[in-house]
Amino acid sequence: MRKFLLHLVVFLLFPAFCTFFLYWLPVDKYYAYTFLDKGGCPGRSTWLYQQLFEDTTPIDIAFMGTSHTMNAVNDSLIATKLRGNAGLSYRCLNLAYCDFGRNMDFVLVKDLLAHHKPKILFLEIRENEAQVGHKQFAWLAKGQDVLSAPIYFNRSFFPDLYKALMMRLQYLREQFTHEDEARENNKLVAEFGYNPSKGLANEQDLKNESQKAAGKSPQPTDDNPLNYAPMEYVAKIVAMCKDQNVTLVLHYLPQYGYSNGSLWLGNNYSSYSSEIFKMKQEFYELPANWYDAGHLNHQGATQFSNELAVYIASRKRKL
Amino acid sequence: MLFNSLEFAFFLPIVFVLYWFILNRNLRLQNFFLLAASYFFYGWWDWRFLGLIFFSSSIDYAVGLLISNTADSRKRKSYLVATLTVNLVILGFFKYFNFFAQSFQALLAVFGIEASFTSLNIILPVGISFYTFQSMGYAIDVYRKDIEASKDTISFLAFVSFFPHMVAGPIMRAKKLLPQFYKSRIFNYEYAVSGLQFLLLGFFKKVVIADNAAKLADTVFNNPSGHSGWSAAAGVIFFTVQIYCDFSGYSDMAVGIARLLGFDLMQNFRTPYFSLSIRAFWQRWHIALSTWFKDYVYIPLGGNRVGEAKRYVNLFVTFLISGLWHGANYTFLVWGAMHGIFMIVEDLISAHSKLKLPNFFRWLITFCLVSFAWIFFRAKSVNDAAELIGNLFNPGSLVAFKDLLLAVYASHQFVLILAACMILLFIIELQLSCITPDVWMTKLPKPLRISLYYLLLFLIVFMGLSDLSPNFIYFNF
Repeated sequence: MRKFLLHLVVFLLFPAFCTFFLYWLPVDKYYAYTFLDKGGCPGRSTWLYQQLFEDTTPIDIAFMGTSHTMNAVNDSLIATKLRGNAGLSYRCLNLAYCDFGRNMDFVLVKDLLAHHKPKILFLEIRENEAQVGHKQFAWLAKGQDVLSAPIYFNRSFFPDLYKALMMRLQYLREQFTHEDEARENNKLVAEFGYNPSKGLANEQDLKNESQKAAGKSPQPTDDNPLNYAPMEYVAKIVAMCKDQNVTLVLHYLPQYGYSNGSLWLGNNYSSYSSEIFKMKQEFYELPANWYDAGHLNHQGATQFSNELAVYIASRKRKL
Repeated sequence: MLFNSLEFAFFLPIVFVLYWFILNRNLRLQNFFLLAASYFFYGWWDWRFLGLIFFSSSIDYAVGLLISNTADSRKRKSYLVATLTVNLVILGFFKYFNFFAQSFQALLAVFGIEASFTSLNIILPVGISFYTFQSMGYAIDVYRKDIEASKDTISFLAFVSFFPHMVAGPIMRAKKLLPQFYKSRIFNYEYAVSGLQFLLLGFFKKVVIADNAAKLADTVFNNPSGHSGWSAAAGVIFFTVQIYCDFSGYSDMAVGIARLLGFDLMQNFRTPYFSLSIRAFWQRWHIALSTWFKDYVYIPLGGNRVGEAKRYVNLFVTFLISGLWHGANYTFLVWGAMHGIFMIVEDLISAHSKLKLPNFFRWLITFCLVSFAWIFFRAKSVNDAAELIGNLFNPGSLVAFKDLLLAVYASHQFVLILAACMILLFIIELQLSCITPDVWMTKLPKPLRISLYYLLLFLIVFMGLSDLSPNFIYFNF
């Protein structure tokens, strides 16, 4: 038995070394972003790549987050309002990407700050942190970022290691066989940014969501160990913004019914950023502003964006 | 749980370590652990069906004891009939209820009778045909006094559910496998290495060849009207390759995993596509099932001891049942019937004609007939199969075929690599006509052997693992 295991380990040393090497394989960013199109938000990642890497026009105000932000922040409306009301000619861009996971924000912010220097970066916060990482984080992140992800209480750590490996294998194969050219020819070209949802949420769904929220503890969950990993990413984003002298503002976009009282992670958030952008309580409670229990509709988004424009204008002197 | 899944990559080493390091001193405990691991393996797919496999094996275990405890032949027979009925009712309900209900409804409609049968939304339990047949085979063997009834419940339950072969065979005879559960197993280096060799080859066949061949085969069979000439022929040939590599790959993996645990499973395939006749093909294809049908259906029907006409009827019926075993669809019935007819015609020709064709032509005819029959096996309906056959003989341009290849495989380079992999498999298969893969690999000079291991491993990772395919075809049966 000992001989068998020894021979097996020796045999597997070389493949193990090659596997480890794969994490250091520099994956072309364009490939990584277009690879994301296989995820749940087709086309948007290719558009994100174009905005972050190809378009050299400066981005003044950037919005990062999940589909909550995608549906709530009308970037062109904010730019128009700023120009009309405050005479500010700012380029505003909604760079949110669908699905939850703070690690994805980290990668996107890292890529954003590597190529642009926005005046303000708005980062979405909700009623609580997503306690599982983004499903496609490993496809976009550098190997080193996957390996150095927080390991304790991070349920996504090992799946991400696996996904990163698989993605890199596919990358290697496609580089060798030129399969990626087919995807290149089929890539989606569309306008993204603000993603309006025209419609009204079902009131019963909203009521159910409210009841669900009421059943949960309103206490802050700062001590929940499952928040360690996402909060570590928030800390990293804060540090990157500080390094680049970018103002970070956290904008609050919870699920319907969770707006009561203080933010669950209020203590932690205020220690990271002095500013949290929050609408009045009534706004979050008004069913007419919602498309479903998670997303604002066009009417809600318009109000939200108008308030954001006012907020940005009011900060003009500080910028 | 699939052999080519991430879960199994964790499951197998854990089972291996616990099995050999912790439980190796107590046979009963080792068998109990194998039973628990097998139920966990099966339950990973759907735990609700664990009750079914437990019920089915318990019935056969109890009936085995009842049969062996009585000398009254009438009672013995009634016990056997009872267990066969229970097993076939279970199999029939889960696999064939809707098929027979709809067929009966269609038949009544021919006579102008309107009948309405409810179609049930029945989930087909994975591998039900395999473990039911294995369990039934045991009861028949006990009845025939070919084996002693098992008095060890744990060993028997572990024998039926043994995870390496539970969901897609090979269907092992109790006479061969059950005694292996009674004897203590000692770790053997060469045996374990041969297990890894089988595993490696099985993965190569499944992940590199079958899954990639499936891409083109699926494209053609999912749209039979859209492909003709070269493209349609390529679809058929690729499916011929796919089904062999998929199923024999799984069987190789099953043999390999069993060997890692100290068990010997039969080899289910012996280079069947090199056969020079349909009879030879069936002696080398899915050997476990062919011998099962021979021993438990064909021979009880009369086998070769009856007159020529009756023998041919028996042969045809056996193949028809074999077709139905594969699935509840007319396509499988037609496939079984075709093979029955091929066998009968081949038998008649060899008995009444002195014509002796060169081996190459015998091989070519056999291969073409087998591939042709696969059309019915793979097509969604008999109409689809007929449409594809019609298109096979329509002239299709080479340009369309080239476009199809590019549409499916995205680049010339990928097609070339896949072709190289198929050639590599062909070369390996040529070596395996007379010996098993482990013996062949062990005989290779060490540098060549190690290089082959690394090459296969590289191809598995490079061509397959980044694009994990969820299913084995034979899980559906």
